[in-house]
Amino acid sequence: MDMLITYVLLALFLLLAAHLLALPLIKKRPVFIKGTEETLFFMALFAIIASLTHPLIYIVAIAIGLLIYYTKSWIVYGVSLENISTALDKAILATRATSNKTINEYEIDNNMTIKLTNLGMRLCYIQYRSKAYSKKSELTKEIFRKFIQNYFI
Amino acid sequence: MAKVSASVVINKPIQEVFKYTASPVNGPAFIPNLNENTNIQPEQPGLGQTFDWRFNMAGVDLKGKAEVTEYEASHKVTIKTTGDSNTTWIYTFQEESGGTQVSAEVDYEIVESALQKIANRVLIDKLNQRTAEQMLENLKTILEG
Repeated sequence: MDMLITYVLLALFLLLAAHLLALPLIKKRPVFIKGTEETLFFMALFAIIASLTHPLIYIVAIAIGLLIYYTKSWIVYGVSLENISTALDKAILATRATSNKTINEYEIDNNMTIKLTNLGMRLCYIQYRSKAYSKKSELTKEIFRKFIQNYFI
Repeated sequence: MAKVSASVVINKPIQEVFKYTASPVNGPAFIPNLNENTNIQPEQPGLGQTFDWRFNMAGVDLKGKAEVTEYEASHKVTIKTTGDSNTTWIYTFQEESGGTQVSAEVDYEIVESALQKIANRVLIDKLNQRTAEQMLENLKTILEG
């Protein structure tokens, strides 16, 4: 039974890895892990480790999954923080949104805070916090995603 | 050829709405699934302006070239695209009680090789109609916000 769970998790992880990592890399575009996909990807990864090591790690897998889901974060590989920052500036300009910028943190439309963190090795962590739903902020976020994905790695 | 159309009233002056919509630089901001317009020549919008486009339809990248074939300042702009998808985008602008009515009409034909990658034709037609409506909603959000 344990082996079956491991194989199912491994199959799920490989499918997600192919979709999230291999497809963009083939096109030489940045790797983008976000939303539900990101949650499932990391939950599957830690669940595989749990199934091979200790069942308590399943709790870590669930905790990490929930943390990623509720912090509404993106993980981007293949683009420098400067390029990500440029993409965000372009997205703000394109949607005519208002913005306040401090070091690696933006407030869009007096509503959404976007925090950019460089994790090194061209790996960046982008976190969003919204006070309330704002169509313009969501549109800026969507265009920001497009502009990041337009870069070649 | 298939056709989709949509219309919206934007509470902004016609010149401002036209200027923003007719510039290929702004295309990726309000057209969902349009990833980028590059190699825009000349920079200033007008008749004969050309650019390269890259559009993502149902996960498949479509690419090609575009040319502005009709340009009547503050009234009408027509853009023809060739490549993986042959389309004609017609935007018309009319003043309406202090605001602007923008209508978009898109005639499109996806070339067979690209269509083979996107399995369901009916799905594509629905997706394109939704894209046209979403495009004008985005335009309203950007310009009025």
